[in-house]
Amino acid sequence: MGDLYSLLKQKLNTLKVEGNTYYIAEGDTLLDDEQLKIYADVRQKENEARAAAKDADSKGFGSSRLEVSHGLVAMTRDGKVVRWAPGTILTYRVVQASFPSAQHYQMVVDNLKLATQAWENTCGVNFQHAAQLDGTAGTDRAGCIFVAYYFDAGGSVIASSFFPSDPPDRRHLLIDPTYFTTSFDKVGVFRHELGHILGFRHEHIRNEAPPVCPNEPLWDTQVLSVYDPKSVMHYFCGGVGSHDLQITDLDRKGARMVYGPPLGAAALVEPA
Amino acid sequence: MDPFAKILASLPGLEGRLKESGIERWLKEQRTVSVEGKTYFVLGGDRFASEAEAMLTFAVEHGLVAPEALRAAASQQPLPPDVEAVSVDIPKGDR
Repeated sequence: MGDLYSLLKQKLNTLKVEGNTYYIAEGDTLLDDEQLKIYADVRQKENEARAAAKDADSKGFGSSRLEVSHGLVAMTRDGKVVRWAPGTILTYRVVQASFPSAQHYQMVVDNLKLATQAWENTCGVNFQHAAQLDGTAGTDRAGCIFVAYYFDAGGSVIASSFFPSDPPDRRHLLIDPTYFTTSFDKVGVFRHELGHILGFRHEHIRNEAPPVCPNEPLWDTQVLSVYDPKSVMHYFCGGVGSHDLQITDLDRKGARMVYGPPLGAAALVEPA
Repeated sequence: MDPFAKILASLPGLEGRLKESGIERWLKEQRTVSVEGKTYFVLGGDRFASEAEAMLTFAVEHGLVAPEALRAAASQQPLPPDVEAVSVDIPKGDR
């Protein structure tokens, strides 16, 4: 990524807005430095994929891409949507000792609380912060469904999570140091990561997304609604996506197909 | 054992096709991170992939494996006990 990023940084025109420098990509898209890195990364991946497809073609392997006809994309197993079993309480702990300061830890605790609430208000899922386990030594799950901790991934991600079908030893939410400086909404970053934890894939891997957006194999996916460029699961790429990563109406619709309405929305009916 | 490694092993001939397509060189070119003693590949995006998962990703992107074969192989892998796979009715107009 470094080469293309440096090249774009040199070549693109810049614009200064309220003291911040933005790079002008694709004519009308303003990118700050971090977004330029992401943009360069996806462009490079796209170029590599094209070259690899050409290479595979020349070797007679073909380069078939997996197609889907048509905002949320769910992961599947054997044609069925993968989800947490009903009644599962998605408990988590935040490893306090992994963070460089009490403020960093508290920010993550607070933002995760808001992000989990956003999903609980969206569909029938239930998260629970096992705060009493935050002081437990080590980074194991300590009986929780997942564990969140500070992890220096060298800026390769802002945060990284897992899918429900992953082996339990991969159930960690990793938070890179760049999380604390990102220009993306920090609660939104967690909304996005929690979306993966619930089994939702990236929205921008759909064919309707701008070609510049990064691709991922679609063989184990099921689309749940029409393409949503503002989906919480959509990266900021090709001039679409968003910085605040809110859960949209289409996200809500798709999530409810999998998990039903929010648990708090269910009316209690006394038997006659 | 990594379920992706099991899927990879269950697809006859795939490892050979991967080698012919330069998987070893490609893997060496990818960034990696070490989490709890395990090495993961940074393939772009926010998910870290095990080596087998990275190899399967490469195989799909290069047309080395049919999606149907991959789906069939994956369906043989059990889900964790607190996870299930369910049929979801999607209104026709939403696809």
